[in-house]
Amino acid sequence: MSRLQRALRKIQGKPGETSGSRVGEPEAVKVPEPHRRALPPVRRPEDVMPAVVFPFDKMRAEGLLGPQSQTRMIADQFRRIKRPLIANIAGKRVAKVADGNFIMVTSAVSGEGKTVTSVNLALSMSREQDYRVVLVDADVAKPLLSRMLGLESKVGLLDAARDDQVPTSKIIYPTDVPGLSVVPVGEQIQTATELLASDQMERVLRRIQSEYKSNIVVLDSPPMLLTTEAAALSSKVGQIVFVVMAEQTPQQTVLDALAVLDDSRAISIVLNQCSEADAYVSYGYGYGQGADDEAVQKSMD
Amino acid sequence: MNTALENALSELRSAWRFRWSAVALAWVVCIVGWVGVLFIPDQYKASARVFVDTETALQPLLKGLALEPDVDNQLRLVRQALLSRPHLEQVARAIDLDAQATTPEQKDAMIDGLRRRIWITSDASRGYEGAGSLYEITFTDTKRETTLIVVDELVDTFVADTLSAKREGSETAQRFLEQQIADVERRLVEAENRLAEFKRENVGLVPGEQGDYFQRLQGMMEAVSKAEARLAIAMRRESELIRQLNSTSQYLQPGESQASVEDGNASSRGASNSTTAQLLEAQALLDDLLLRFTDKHPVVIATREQIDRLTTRQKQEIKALESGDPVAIAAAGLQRNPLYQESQLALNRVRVEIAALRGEISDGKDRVAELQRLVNEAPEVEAEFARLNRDYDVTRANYSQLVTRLEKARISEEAEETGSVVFEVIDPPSARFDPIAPHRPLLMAGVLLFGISAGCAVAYLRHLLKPVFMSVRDVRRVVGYPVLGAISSSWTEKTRSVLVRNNLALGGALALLLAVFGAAIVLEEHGARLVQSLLGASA
Repeated sequence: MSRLQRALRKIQGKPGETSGSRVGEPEAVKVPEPHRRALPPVRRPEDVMPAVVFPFDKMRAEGLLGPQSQTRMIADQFRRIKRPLIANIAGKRVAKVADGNFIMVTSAVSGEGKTVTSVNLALSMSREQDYRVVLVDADVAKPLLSRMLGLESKVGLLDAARDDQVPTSKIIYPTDVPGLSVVPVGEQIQTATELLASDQMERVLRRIQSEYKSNIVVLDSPPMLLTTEAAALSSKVGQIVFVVMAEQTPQQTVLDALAVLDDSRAISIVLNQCSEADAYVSYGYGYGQGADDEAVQKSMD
Repeated sequence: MNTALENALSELRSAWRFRWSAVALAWVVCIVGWVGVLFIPDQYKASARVFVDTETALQPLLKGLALEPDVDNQLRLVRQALLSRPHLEQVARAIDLDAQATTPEQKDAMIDGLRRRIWITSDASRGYEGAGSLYEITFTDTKRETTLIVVDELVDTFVADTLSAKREGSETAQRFLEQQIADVERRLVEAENRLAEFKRENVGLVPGEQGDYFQRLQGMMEAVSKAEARLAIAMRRESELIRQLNSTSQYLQPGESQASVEDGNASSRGASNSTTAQLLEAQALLDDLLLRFTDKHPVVIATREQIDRLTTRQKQEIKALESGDPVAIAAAGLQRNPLYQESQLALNRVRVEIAALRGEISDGKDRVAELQRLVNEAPEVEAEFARLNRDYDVTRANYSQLVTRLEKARISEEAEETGSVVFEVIDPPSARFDPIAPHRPLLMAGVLLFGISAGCAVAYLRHLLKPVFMSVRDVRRVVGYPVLGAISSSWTEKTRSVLVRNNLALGGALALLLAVFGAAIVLEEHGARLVQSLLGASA
């Protein structure tokens, strides 16, 4: 993957040449996406927006991605983590979760690894052939993701939420990772947290998702216990991935945060920074959320 | 098993989070503890050993009378005597301890404190055979001089006390003996009385010169059977004599000698001679008349009447004779038959003998019956008698023994006053120059251990108070939602170096602690002395 990325970067070095290189050099385009169905070029976001370079090395240095030696292991782990989430979206062997395309990644307090998890999860999911991932930075308090990608000053989520005139296509930034796009947080304003809970936000999110039918929206959200708006955000999504930092967050804190969540959603836990042996402890995919689906349907009607 | 191990390791890892608070606590506890150990004052001990032959005064007197003096009792008495209030007050004065105690309660407390620190033990079996006990007196205190003074005082008191106690003991023993003698005397008198009463009640049954009971019974039965045999013989003789008498006439016939008495017609001959003669004459006349005349002749008739009359008279006379009518006998003028008389006498004698024998036999049978009746009783009686005798003998022996002892005691007491007392100070009061307690290095090591354990405990406690999730298992156990998975910890260079630095610091802190411990042990003596002098200066 890194070789291809390097190749891509070479090809897609200047923003202005993106469309041209896409159209003109089918090999360069086709190699990273061998199985994608061809779509009219005009409609693809890549035509409109310049692709953002995914800063892998920087992220590795910062600790958002694991070191080289652990890449495979972490990739394996995330592959396991994403399976049930995707199964919920597809409705394979389990009941389909309403709004399952919207996956919120949150935690109890800050510093537990939400951003790490959301980035890795998005990367992992982007390799899925049937889906494309939009990684949304909704962490208005600490927009680490946007900063990392160098998009903190760009138009983003909050702008679209505030102003209906901002087109969705403008806020979705494609990256050099195929199948992965990013939505930065946008301009920080005083009422940022309130905006998270508003109906406009919901509309924006839906618009983001509907850009492409099989879009998965991964939301990197603020910690639950920081603001109540984060809890409100939880009712706008279908699936919630709750990240817990092992050996650090007190159990009671986690339980308090979980209590705040809207438990009609499909909530599941991810344990971060677990010592290696534990990572390979077997765990089941049992959900038991099937029973809640009817309640979800009723609440949505 | 595996799960248990995993659980344990998980617990350890979670406690590890608070390692710094553990180290900090260990440091604090250790420093405080070590300084505290330095503050513990030294204890010195003085001891002295004394050999007292306390038993020579008592033992011989009481030997064999079932009152062995208990060694423990002796020790207790000695301790009580030595640690009595007046003695301890004296000791307190000697070491200037009573200067601080003013109120009675303080005085009591001081005396009690002293008492607790004085140890008196006895060792009766150590190397000395027989009489005597080894007593060891020890005293502990923070000042060496004080211990020596106290033990010295105690030994002196002990010596003085024991001597007087010995005298008292001998007097006590004598009094005891006298009391015992009175007791035994009383018992002796009782025994004698019982014996006498018993003899009285069982007269005749007490085996005396008559010999054994069964022998007596047999003797009696033999006597009875002998008497019965004699009776049988006598009765035969009686019947023989009766037969003889019957065949002998009582009276001799006139003209007849004794020799012709043995005739059956004794009775007819027994009639009176005249009547018989007249009858014969009459009959002769009748015969004559009948020759000449017939029966109808009046003379014949008259003669016949005469004969009848005479016959009747004869019969009457015979009857009278037979009945023993002396008149008739005299009238008949018969002579008694000496043979008859002899037989009669013999018969009477035999009859008397028979009566006597019968009496003897019945008497004897009674006696036999009585003796038989007493078959069961007599042996018991004999046993009881034997027992009483034995009691009496024993009591008397005891009595004589006690009297002898008392005499001996009196003599030995007099002998003692000439000065044969056995009392020896084996070890004079001495105290080591080193303190016997406390063992500071040991205590300090203990403090170190305690500090470390306290630290560990605190770390674990903090973990328990604020548990975190160590593994997916923890999450599943506590949280109800499904777990998607776990992400392993990623070690960047930065975090790795931070961790290493952290651990090094921890190790350094612990190593420093151990170094301080080592220093403390090396310097404990100096430190202790410093502290003691500071305390002494301030006191």
